[in-house]
Amino acid sequence: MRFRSIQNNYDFQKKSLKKYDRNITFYFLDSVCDEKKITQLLITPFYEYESFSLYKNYLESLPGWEIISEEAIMVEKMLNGNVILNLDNINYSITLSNYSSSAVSESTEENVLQGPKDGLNGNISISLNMIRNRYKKNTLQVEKYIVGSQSKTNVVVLYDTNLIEINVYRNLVEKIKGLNVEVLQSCGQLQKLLINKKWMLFPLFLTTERPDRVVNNLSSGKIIVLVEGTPWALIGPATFFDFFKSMDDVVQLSIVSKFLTSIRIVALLITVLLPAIYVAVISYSPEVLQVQFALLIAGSRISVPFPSYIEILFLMLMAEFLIEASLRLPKTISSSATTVGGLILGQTASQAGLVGDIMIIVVSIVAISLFSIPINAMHQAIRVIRYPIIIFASLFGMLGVIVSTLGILCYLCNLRSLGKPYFTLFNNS
Amino acid sequence: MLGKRYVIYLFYLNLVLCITVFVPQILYKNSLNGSISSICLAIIVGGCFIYVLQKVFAQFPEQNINQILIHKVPNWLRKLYIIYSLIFWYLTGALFIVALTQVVKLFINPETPLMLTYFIFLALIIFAIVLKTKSLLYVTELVVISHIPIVLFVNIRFFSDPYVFKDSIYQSLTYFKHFPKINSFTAAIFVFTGFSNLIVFNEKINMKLIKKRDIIGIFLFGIFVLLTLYFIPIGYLGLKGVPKAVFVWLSTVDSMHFDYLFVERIIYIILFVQIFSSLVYIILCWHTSVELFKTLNLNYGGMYKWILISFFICVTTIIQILIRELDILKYFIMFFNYCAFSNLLLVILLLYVSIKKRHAS
Amino acid sequence: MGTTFLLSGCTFKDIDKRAFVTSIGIDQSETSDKKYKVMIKVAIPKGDPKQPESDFVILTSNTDSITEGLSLMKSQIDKELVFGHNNSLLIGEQLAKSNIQPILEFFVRRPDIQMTSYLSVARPNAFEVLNFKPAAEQVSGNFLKSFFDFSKTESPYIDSLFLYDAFRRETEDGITIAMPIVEKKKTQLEVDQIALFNKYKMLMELSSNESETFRLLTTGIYNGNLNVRNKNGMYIINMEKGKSKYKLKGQNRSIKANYTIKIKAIIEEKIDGLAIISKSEIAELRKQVEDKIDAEATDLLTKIKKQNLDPIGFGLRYMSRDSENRKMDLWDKNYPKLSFNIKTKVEIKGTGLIQ
Repeated sequence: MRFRSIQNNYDFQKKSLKKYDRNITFYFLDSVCDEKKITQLLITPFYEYESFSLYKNYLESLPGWEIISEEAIMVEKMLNGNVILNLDNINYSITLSNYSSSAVSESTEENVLQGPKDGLNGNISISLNMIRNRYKKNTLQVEKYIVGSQSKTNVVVLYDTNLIEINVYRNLVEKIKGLNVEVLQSCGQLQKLLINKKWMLFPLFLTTERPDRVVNNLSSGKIIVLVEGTPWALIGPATFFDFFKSMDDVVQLSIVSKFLTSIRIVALLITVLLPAIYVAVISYSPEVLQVQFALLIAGSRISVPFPSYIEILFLMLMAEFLIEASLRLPKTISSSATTVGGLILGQTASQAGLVGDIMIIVVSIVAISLFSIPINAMHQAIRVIRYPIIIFASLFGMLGVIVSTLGILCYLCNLRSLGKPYFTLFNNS
Repeated sequence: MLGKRYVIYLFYLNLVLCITVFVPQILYKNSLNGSISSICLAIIVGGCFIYVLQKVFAQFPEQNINQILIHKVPNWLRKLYIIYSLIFWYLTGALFIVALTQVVKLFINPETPLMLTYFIFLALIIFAIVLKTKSLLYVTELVVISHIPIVLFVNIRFFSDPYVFKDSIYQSLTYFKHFPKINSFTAAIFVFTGFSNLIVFNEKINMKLIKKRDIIGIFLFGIFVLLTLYFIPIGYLGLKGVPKAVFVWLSTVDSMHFDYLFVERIIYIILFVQIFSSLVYIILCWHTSVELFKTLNLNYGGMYKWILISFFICVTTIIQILIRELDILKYFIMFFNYCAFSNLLLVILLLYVSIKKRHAS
Repeated sequence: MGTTFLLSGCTFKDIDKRAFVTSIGIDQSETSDKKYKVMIKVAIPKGDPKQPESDFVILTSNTDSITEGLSLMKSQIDKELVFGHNNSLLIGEQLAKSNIQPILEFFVRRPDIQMTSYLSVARPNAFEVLNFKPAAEQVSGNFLKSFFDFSKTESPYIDSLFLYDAFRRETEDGITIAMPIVEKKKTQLEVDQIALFNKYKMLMELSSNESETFRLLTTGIYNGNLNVRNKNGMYIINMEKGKSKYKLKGQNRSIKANYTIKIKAIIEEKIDGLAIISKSEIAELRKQVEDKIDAEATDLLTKIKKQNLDPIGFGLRYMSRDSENRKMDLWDKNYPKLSFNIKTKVEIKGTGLIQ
């Protein structure tokens, strides 16, 4: 039963060798076995040795030589990188595994304190090798599809047959099969094609570079999609709060990880709402603030000639330009550019009386809170969503903040990622 | 199917909404002759209502009112009832919008024209009612969970405040020997029956899992909230002072004194959270109307829905222009009577269908 | 572009174009044909947060109604007046002795004045008290506010009065207002007396000691003082914590108020000598303190009763038990016959660092 299910995988290989009147067949998973060693140590000697018994004696000298009698052990051995030989109806296993570490690079975009540091690779077989070596379950199913009429890119779908929901799987596979595109080059492009709506803001799939995150999600029933050529994997279905979990949370102790997750959500609220609340409170209802604080802000704005919404839009745009510049510039220039922007612009703008001091503090708090969100794709969405709320706040005050927040909430709750709800606090089964 | 906790969210939303819709004011009109006994009577009847609703909906899992009624009552009765419900839920939402815009104009943006505030709310509500039902339930969950700390906060402050006049509360309790009055009774019973838009949401919520323990919990919580709704303002404003106040609860919350708080007046926080929950409730009411309209099977194809919505907009705008601030309490008293009557109809219909089903099986 | 167009109709007004009103004072008018002189204290923001300076401006106008006065004052300043931060309301002594009902009604009716503002009587008049600028103050008007904010745990002579408290005391039967008096004495403000009102005007005021006793009988005092003299010398007792409760007993004819006062005290100062205070002395002192407090309380309550005022709320307590059968006129007849029975229990915890 298990053997039959493992045969459905894309990386399952079966080879039969025939010489004169002797056949042997062997089975292996090519993602965890070293193909070179198989050719060198198994196939070539078969054709070199004259007699079969000599070949068999030779085989007995290979590492990991064992007689297998049970199906479960056979499948387990295969998952560990062994080759199963069938000689005269007896199964033997030989260890010819490959754990690729030389081609593996560090994951650069997601950093953690403790935990594995390697990242996925553009070559699918190396990525598969890493994933299979970390998740040695026989229910892990690997399927391959070809997408793109001109580029013919390999797209591999991984999932655990016991844990996923059939509807979600069918939804995804139908979408992939129905894709009609000429060139597919990266994972992000695949995400856009899968969502397939004209106006998209929030990422409905998680993109990650780390094999440990992939394995974590596999074990909770998600489906992984790997695209040849980029070291990124797509994980679906995703929920909004998945984007706020870093792999550190698995490694740290439970209270610490809950604390850190809640801090990130507070940071999200600050970065989205603080500029808007600032504008609304300053210009529409200063009765919300305490007297001392209100007078402080009024005092710091005495020299400023612009109304508050222009100030804050100006500063936030400057902050956006800074972030964009530090992303694209080569490493040698980027540090001086950020110094110019951050320190000099901010400092002298306030000294020249163009913006108030407190405004600069608000914008820097907002920028810092933005960076505490672990996944990059969510950054971009949050950066965009701030501006409509600021505009509503400057038009209608606190009422505008409330109405726009509720509107965004309703929109978010209406999104579905592969048929499952995107924005729920607790898991709904 | 969503879990049973969504019923609790609907119930809770109804409870906290009562502050915005003048339920305490109506109760205070009869505070010296009959409100206490009306409240007791309303508690008993409300408990029965919750029990009946839960039992009947558990018998018809995952069916909205149209599917429940479809073979059990004659077709014309079913269609008539659905049109009636549609109009009822629409009026609920419309009246609540009018009340909400009034409160907002008075406290938050006194100089913004009333119609502008009204149109902003209307835009948001129209955007939200055409979304899927489950999405709206998720929004309800979020709003309720962020509302709970505020309620706890206010209650804890009340119980620990040395400036509350407990004597006034005792004084109001001594007036229980009077006969209950209709207006107070219907206002108090709205606290327990406002969540009957379950007739549409039953399709998405799994009512079978609700046990007796949950029902008793909900009921006790409802009693607690109703009692605090009535007694906390008396403690702060005095028994003779409460009928004078127009927005009783907002004056009460303004009277709570906090030495160390980051905002100047706590009334702003309460008001913002109230606006959130009121808006969500209004969205749910109008969504119920739209869903009921969909079940009438008029081959809608999308256009009829928008015709209905534009009809809503026109009528609400007319109501908004015509109602004056002074008369609104009168309209609310009429509305609560009408609401109690509708819920009575609903209970009768449901009991009839349930008995019929039990006889059939 | 579009935003600026829309904003012109949207009441967008920056914070530096608003003026914050921190105190409002009302006096009897200087000109004979108007009723009130309305004054507001407006805080002026300073640019440098490091140097706290509380500058202010006082705007006045003489009018017949307070609303008219406030709108007249809008023409005296270029910014928009914001009343949301206002936290003290001062009523001049002359005006307090004539009629405070319309003033109270105005303040409660306006939605942008906090219900937790502090009311007080200003002596000699509100203008002097408003004009007072203390040596160090973060924001103008904070001085009075901090007086009343911490009055629970600091001074035992004052009992702050909130606006909502005044409102409910006005409307309820059986309880009247007790307001603190703020007095301007040459270079400082002093708040240590309480004024008692009936439903319309101020009728009597209590001295500092009487205010302390009054405070003890209502909300309890922290760190009050008492002098006791006996044959061994004069002792100053510090009452760390004092609380009192009362019950009304008896029927229509003879109603008694039974007070129980519990005090935890330490001996703070002993004048005339450094002799050790022995245990028997402490017991004797205790008895003396109890007697003294009993006497003071009874005197105060009788004095208040004679003026037919009821700031402690005996009437309300009477009515709240079985108010169907009890009417206010019955209580009015019986109030002068109310007798007080006071039982004090003092526990002298210690004598400080030396015996």
